[in-house]
Amino acid sequence: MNRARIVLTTLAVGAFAHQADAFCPSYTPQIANCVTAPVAGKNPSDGEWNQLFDLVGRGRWESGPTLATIEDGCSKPSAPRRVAARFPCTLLKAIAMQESRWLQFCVPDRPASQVGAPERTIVSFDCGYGASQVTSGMRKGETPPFDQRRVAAEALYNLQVGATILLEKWNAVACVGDKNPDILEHWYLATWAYNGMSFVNSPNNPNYAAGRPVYNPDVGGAYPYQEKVWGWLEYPPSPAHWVRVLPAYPDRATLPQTGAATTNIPEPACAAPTSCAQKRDVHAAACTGPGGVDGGSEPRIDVTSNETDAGVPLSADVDAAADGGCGCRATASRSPWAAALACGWLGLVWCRRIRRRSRGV
Amino acid sequence: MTRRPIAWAGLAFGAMLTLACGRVVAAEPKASGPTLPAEVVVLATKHGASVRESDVRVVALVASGTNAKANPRTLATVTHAPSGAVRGDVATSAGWQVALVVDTDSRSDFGSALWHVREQGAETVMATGLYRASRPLFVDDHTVLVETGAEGPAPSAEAFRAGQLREDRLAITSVHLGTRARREIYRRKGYTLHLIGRVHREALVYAVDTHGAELVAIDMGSGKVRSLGLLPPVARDFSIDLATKRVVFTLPGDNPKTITIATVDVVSGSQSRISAASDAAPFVTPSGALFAKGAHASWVRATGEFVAPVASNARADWLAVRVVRAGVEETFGEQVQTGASVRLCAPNERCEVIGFRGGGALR
Repeated sequence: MNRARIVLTTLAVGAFAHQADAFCPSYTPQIANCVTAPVAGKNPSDGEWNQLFDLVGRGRWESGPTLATIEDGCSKPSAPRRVAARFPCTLLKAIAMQESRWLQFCVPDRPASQVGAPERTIVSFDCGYGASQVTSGMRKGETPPFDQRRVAAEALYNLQVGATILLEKWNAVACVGDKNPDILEHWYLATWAYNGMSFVNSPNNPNYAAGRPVYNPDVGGAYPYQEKVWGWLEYPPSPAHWVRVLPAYPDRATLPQTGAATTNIPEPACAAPTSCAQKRDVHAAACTGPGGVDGGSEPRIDVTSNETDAGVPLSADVDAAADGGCGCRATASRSPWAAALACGWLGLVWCRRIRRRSRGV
Repeated sequence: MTRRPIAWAGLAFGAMLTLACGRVVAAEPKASGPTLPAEVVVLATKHGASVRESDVRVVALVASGTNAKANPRTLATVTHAPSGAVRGDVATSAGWQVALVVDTDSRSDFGSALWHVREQGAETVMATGLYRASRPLFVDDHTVLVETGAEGPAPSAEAFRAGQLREDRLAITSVHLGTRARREIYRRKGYTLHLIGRVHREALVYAVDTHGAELVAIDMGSGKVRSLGLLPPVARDFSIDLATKRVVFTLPGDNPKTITIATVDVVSGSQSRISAASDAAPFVTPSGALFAKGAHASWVRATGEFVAPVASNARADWLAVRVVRAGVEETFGEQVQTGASVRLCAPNERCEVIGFRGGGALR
């Protein structure tokens, strides 16, 4: 009974979040330089979206755009090799949340000539289409290796093309850590490149507040693109969308920007975008269907199951969060409830230690 | 021979005392004239990633003993992209004038526009195509400098793999607020031309490109450029100490828990590293540079020495202080003399401090 109420509340909050974030450009080829017209359609439900992300994350799709292999390893210690592509599903969800709030279709609120038209593909003025806001290959005269109309018309196909673009970036950028596609944080540079490998997205850009906390979508603010995605990972719209992850950030002093000879980035371990005073671990994150768990997770506990990540061991670690609070996360491969209990116990012990210490006991 | 160790011991003791005390505040020079009431211009934005409007407010700061009060009034409301950046500068010589670079299109790196807001509440878009999240700089009551440009080509696959970013065609452009006439005064290819501030007729710019970073001084009349030397491309928290004509900024420290506070002399270009502190950012007040030293919020001067507590007749300078609590930024006005502080925006608002009048500093 209680659980049903929690789920209903969660769904209501999620639905509200979508309405509150309503932003629906729908530019046509007559107005912008875009290749194909918006297509009428209905959005998948959040549950259906989760299934689509899960499918795309596994990388083994039967139909859709051609998927290249993925670079795996950076000699730290794994030797580089090419393997079948796969993606941290939670990352795909967070990117799509940043790009479109999980909207493939919406009722246009711009440009003026399209306002009030029936629900149809979200198309930005720069020809960003659908949930992934695919721009590559979507301008007039471009001939990409995928079906442009399906990008506009099908939510799954749109996510698949978005994932292939992300994969292209992954294969092009320098290494983060050992460049393991199963490690969420190793996608930091690829996520940056998904929006554009420009200094505007550099954490070292002095235009951004130096002591900024982790991006919180409930607060907003100007942040580099990949920091916004990392913030969404930490603050999902609801547990039904995905289970909260507290991702590690790379040390800003190690990031690329000067053409220095060594451009590979060490394993991310910072708890904040610009400060490594507090530490975090990296995450082996994947999806297991709707939300990743059954909707009953506690706010600061992240239990991530890795059904697609064979061989990742169970681990539970306690993280003293950057704000001095008592954070806890666990990574579980088989038993999320056991991990949650373990994490809760460890968190209680840790909190008591911290509080006793702060009282000088 | 024996004096030096004693001096070092004294310094070390002083430093320990400073840290232990928690709050040792700067000795400000005596005010030469009557103290103006402090007013600060802020940009207040309701919390939320999809919020597209922000208020430009003037907040009058009043201190009574150790208590402080903020009286806000709204000058204008600006529209921007959701979670878009808005940066500003204030000219106060002839009433309030605010220049804002407003992110109107979050999907473009040059999608920002220059807004001009006046005391009467009138606001006008003066120019478009500005670098995202960049800061404008008043030259005088009629002219504002901005960072403009256009995206360059994507780097080659090899350059991309080597960590190079896209180099853009950048410029520092002056915009006349009366005629909207634009004039490029400096042009360069690179990552950013970050406007730090000005000293007399020169604008100071932190230029970053694939080769590193350089501090340059640009004569706003003739366009003549002086290099003030190379800097690490990870500098930030720039401000200018007008009293000593130095640019003050921070660099990463020797370990993750510290930062280094450094300066460049605007006249000679000489650089110095004056302090390493934990989690601190420098403040510059009209009466000289002061630095926050981490959670203890004690202060040191630009010359590096620790300073004595404020005298009772010191000038009433205010600082805008940004604090992160439970993952959320909060911004306060804090009177240096008394430590009285007051929130500058409502608890459910993001608060961007644009500038002070009447003896304040921000960071």
